Amino acid sequence: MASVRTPRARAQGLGSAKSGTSDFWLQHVTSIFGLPLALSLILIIAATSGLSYGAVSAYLRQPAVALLLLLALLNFCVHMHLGMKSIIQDYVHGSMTKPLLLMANTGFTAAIAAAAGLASLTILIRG
Amino acid sequence: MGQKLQEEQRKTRPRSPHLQVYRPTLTMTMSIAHRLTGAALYGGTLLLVWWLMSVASGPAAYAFEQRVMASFPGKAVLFFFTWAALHHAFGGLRHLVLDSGWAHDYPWREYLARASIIASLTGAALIWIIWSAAGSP
Repeated sequence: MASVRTPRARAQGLGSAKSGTSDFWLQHVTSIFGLPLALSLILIIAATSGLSYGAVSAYLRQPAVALLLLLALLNFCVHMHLGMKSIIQDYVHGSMTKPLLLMANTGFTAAIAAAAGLASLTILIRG
Repeated sequence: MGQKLQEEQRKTRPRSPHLQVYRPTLTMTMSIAHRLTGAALYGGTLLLVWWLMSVASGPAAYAFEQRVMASFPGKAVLFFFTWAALHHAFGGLRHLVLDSGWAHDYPWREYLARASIIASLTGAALIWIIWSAAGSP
């Protein structure tokens, strides 16, 4: 049967992601912010390695250090949520497994972000 | 009926070519390594959060975390973590260059692929040499 819909309209939304380029863009934004944040993460870990417990928690209690740590972890939570989302969309096509894995991905990254936030807050307040 | 016919057709229809069809190339391998290191780092954030949570929990939890990480398996995991992080970072830079439309031509794409694996391996080795020289085992 002939259709008045254009080929583009029929194809729109049929890709595995069902959406536009916002995920792609956010993935790139968090990748660029991720470079200096990963570097500061490495430096913070190096600076605390080998120190006593008291010295480590005192180091992490500095506002600039706590801010960088939290920014890095939240940035990577967004980045890895998008990354794992596209891996699932590329390889998993089951009507049950795909939504379940996508949910698990959101749960895992949210838990990591919450744990990082809670730990930073506890370290700051405990001082 | 139509549904069943479609299922049968799907089996005999030519399938779109995927990885196993192509001769492996360095650029392809580096692209796959980028995705694999990304997936590994996804799990690796558990270690980062464990470290932070152990500091938040107190001296005993922190001592336990440090003891596990100082063991041989702990160090092996941390070394792989270091390399994966660097490889994903250099691979990410490579993909940013490619996504901007540059370096798609021979020989630049090959140089970029080679540079990312060489940079991640030497970078990881350097970090661990400096780290052990600084006396933090």
